Amino acid sequence: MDERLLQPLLGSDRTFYIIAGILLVPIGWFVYCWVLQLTKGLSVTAMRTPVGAAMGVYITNFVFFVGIAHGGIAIAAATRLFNLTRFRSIARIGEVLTIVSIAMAGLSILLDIGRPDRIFHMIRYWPERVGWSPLTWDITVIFTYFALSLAYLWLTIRKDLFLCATRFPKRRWLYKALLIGYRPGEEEEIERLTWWLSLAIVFLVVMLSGGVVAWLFGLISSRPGWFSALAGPYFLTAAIASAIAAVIVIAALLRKVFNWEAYIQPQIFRGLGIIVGLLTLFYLYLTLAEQLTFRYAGPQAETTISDMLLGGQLAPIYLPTLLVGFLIPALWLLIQALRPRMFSITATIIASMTILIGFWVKRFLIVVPSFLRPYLPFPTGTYSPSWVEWSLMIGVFAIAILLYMLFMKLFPIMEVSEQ
Amino acid sequence: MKGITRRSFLKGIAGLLGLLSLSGCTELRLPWSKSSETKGELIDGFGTVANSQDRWAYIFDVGACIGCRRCMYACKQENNVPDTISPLWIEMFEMKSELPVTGQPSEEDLKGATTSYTESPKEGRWYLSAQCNHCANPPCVKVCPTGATYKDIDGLVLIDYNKCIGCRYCVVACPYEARRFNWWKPEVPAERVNELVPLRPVGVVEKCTFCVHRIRRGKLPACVEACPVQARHFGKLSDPDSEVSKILNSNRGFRLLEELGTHPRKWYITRGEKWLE
Repeated sequence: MDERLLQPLLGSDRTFYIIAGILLVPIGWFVYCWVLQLTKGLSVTAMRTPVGAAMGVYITNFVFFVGIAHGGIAIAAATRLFNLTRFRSIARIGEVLTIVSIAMAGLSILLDIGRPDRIFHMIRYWPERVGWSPLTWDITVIFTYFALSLAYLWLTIRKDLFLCATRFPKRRWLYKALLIGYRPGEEEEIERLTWWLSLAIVFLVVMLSGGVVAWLFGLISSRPGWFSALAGPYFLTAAIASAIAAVIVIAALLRKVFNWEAYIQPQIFRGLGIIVGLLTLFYLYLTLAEQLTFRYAGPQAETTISDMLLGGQLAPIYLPTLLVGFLIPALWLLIQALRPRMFSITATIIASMTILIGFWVKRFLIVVPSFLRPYLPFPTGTYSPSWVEWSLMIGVFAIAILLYMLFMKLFPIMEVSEQ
Repeated sequence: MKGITRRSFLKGIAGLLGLLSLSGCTELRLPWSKSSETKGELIDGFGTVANSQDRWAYIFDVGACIGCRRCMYACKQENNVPDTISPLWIEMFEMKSELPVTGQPSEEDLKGATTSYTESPKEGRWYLSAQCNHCANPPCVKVCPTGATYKDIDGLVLIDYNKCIGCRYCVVACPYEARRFNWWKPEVPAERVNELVPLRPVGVVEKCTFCVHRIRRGKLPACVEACPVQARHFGKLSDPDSEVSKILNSNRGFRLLEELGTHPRKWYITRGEKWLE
């Protein structure tokens, strides 16, 4: 077993506690703001209807987190299904990202709904609504995806936990509980199981980000700008591009912090960078197709949405997102892949981070504009998140980072038994 | 492996699942959720019986309406609509049109429209009211994840305020923007409360019910009764001799956003002086 891979688990790392302490500040503020929202109702947000936006940054966050949840399985599928073993070292980094971000997507929904105390109604009335409501489809697929991803992570981490159980006697009870039914030599069986599991999850990726999340918007004919058959591929492209960008950023960070240069090879970043670059360019093409359909002999309502994005109140966000958030970093990723002399990991990280932020903003620009100009001549609304919404949003990100750090503190984030 | 056996592990999981499902049945009661419902003020349903033979029709005469907004305030009074709901269940648009009204409001009409007019009636303007259309093919009912909003057997689209989780997906799905959300805790002064209409808790959706508590008892909706110029008519389309059936048989009319396939039950006719002959 390589001690250097166990570094995050070893001893009392002061940096860990300092970062965790810093994260607790926005998390404490998150709790305060949520209590405020629960006591005062959603009036503390800037959402309004019908003049304004009925959904805002909470739903944006939901779509964003569901999107980056695909990072884990994209890598895992690459390693298991297509035998791309060079990505294997970062497989678990992606899988943990999946688990954490699905949890955060669920939390975002809880923040958004008016009666979180009745969230169980979604399950109680599931049988009668699953034939109709895209929101119910969503819950179904997300739960399945979460369960399968968790099973996948659990199965693949067991042999590492077995090694850790002897190495860290203090946490033996935790590892023992997770190692229930463990037999030395079960690896071969688990290998077969996880192959089928990856196959199932890959189909669910298409159903989740290319399906139910997209249909949440794409099927609503009353919202010009949403109603589109393109929604599926559009959301799927965004999801996978942002997910891999997130994996690049996290893997590079860990590599730097724990000096894992020998384990996470630069080729991994180049390979993933090419995928992100290509997908982002494809996304730009889909955006062009969308805008062209809005404008070329488009119905009045859709042209209005397009005007708002290209020249109206949202243009100062929309155009920079396309150019600086997508086009420039995507080209950069591809150019440096073609010219090995220009390749640098720092550049890859900056480009991926930019694309990641770009995709958050783009989701916001999908969710919000369609609310501002309804079909009937209500006054044009505006929406800019209230301080409570910003606080809760930042809190969700802080919780995500803290959960990720806690996982690394307790479990090996790298496959120690492989080395 | 000592300590935890497979058996005890599975038992634990089963116990946890049981607890989870229990909490689902009883609803989590948080301190803040003690709204009107816990005091027993919330009437479950509307205390009325629907007749499956009934098909209701609401007719709005854009040629007659003078834009006085009496319907809006009568509705607010009748249905315990709190001050925090804005716009009200009914919204009035003042439309600016060069030509007499010919049918569907044109794009030009919509561009000159406003809800914040201060004097009416005004020369060269006409008025369009929007409220829940109780569509025969309601998109809001389709998307509801809990069945809180439903189409009753007489075609009325209603909301069970105890079931609604406040996801606002129905608000999103309604092309007529007929649905309102309780962003604030609704408060109606005790002396203003109409006992026949349930009070809503915070965080749920509400909208026009066609005054279900009145029409099923043989009365007209409050807005129809309040109209001083008979621009609003209401009745049973299922009865061929009813006023609404006769009006629809003898007038040209339109429905809003018909191309979306929602089949609204609110028709607009254009009788009166503004009607193009």
